[in-house]
Amino acid sequence: MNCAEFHKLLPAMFESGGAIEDQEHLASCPNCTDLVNDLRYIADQAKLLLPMHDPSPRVWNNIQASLQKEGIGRADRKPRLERKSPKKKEWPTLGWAAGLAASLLIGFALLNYSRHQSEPQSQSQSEELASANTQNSFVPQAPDTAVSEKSSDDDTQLLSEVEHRSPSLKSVYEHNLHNVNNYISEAKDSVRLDPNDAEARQHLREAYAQKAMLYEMATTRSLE
Amino acid sequence: MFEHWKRQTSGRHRATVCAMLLTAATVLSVCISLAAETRKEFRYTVGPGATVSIVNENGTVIVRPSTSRQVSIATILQSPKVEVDSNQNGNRITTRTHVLQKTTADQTRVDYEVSLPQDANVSVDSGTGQIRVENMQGNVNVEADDANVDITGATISVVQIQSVNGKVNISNAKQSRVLVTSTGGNVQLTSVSGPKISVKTTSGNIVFDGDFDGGGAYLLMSHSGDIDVRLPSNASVDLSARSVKGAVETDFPFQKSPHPAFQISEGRAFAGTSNSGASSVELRSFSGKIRVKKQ
Repeated sequence: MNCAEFHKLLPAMFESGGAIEDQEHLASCPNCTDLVNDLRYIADQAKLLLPMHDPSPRVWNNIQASLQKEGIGRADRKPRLERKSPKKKEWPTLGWAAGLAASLLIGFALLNYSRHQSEPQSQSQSEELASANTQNSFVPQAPDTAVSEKSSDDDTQLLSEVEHRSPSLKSVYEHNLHNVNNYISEAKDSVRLDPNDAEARQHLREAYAQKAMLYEMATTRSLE
Repeated sequence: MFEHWKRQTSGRHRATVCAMLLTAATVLSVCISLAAETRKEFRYTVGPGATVSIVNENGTVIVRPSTSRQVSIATILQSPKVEVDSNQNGNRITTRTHVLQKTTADQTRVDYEVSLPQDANVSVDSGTGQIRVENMQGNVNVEADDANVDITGATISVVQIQSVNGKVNISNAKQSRVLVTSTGGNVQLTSVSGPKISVKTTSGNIVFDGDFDGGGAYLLMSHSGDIDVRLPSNASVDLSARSVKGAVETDFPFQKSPHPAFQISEGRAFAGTSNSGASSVELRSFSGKIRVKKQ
């Protein structure tokens, strides 16, 4: 038996709980001996770690609630996580495979977490891209609440910066931002009605330029 | 006691005493305000094409040409809570107001009076107050939040103004490129001509009074602001006007364009030529009115 053939049989040997050390190949192959020892060690450690790492459903619920609260998790995630969570009583029989499963579960959870964590950003980026494309093509899509909320957040932040720099100018910027946002909104509506209207497209372009100017003037200048 | 004093003194005497007290109070307040004022002056010598930048939070900035290569920047500070620093790097001079601590608008006020060679470029960045630039031939760049801007007599220069809310007046600018973007402030151009004139506002009104001379490209554009144009009968323009939602009115004797760039809907758009149509004039508004009248 060569190493490849031994590796192929290894999972079945672990699952059957047989004495792997008695295999003839191990007597002549120090590499496979080391591998078996390592796997045995991992399986044993997994058994020890299991009680500490098997959280109660309440913990999963709390994690799920927190993720949902931060907009990271999805409502359909909880059952999946619960299904993936192995039951304690199965662990002694699963042996090293259970350890591997635990690692996979952790990896899967980490992967999912990081993916969902990056999702709002990529979603936001895609919205910005969509918005930019809209500006480039000048054919606005249906109003996007998320985009307008983001814009509103940006405006709020801008106004707080203006207030910090010069409190008396806050109302000036607030009033003008409101007017520019109206301009953008009306120009978008107009382009939506007639995407071929060059005039409306010019107004939309100009409306965005006006807003860009307001942002530039409020943020890039420092009088202190 | 006051009643006693009133009884003892005649009406005329009382009036004299009151006037004296009033005068004393006025003199005292003037003295106090003068004492708080600080004057600071900077002088530099520059070569051709120098750039002078002024950054000020609140106050008046007046820029005038000098007859020498000297730059003089005179400042009046209203309180010790602001300071002015100025430095020269080669042909570039930057003078800046620093607000040292949060205080009232009056106390952050610094007034500038700048004289510089006529060919110098000038840049003014101001929060509130008044900006006035006279008779310059270099580039004029103004950024203002809520300051009124007055540019007069600019020749062969590039005048670029970005304003959030203040009024912008430009007059007697010849052979200049004039680019104005104002969100909420009204913009008035009187006798302004050049190869490229562009005024864009959101809610500010635009008034153009002049002959659109020089065979240039003129664009006046607003969102909700009205656009009023008054031009003489000898104006040589190829004019088009369109408001997406507002009205377009004209009593000027144009020859209607046979091939306008857009579809003419009555009362909303107009395209016509006067004389040889040397200058291109585009008037665009989204919901504001456009009126074109004869001077």
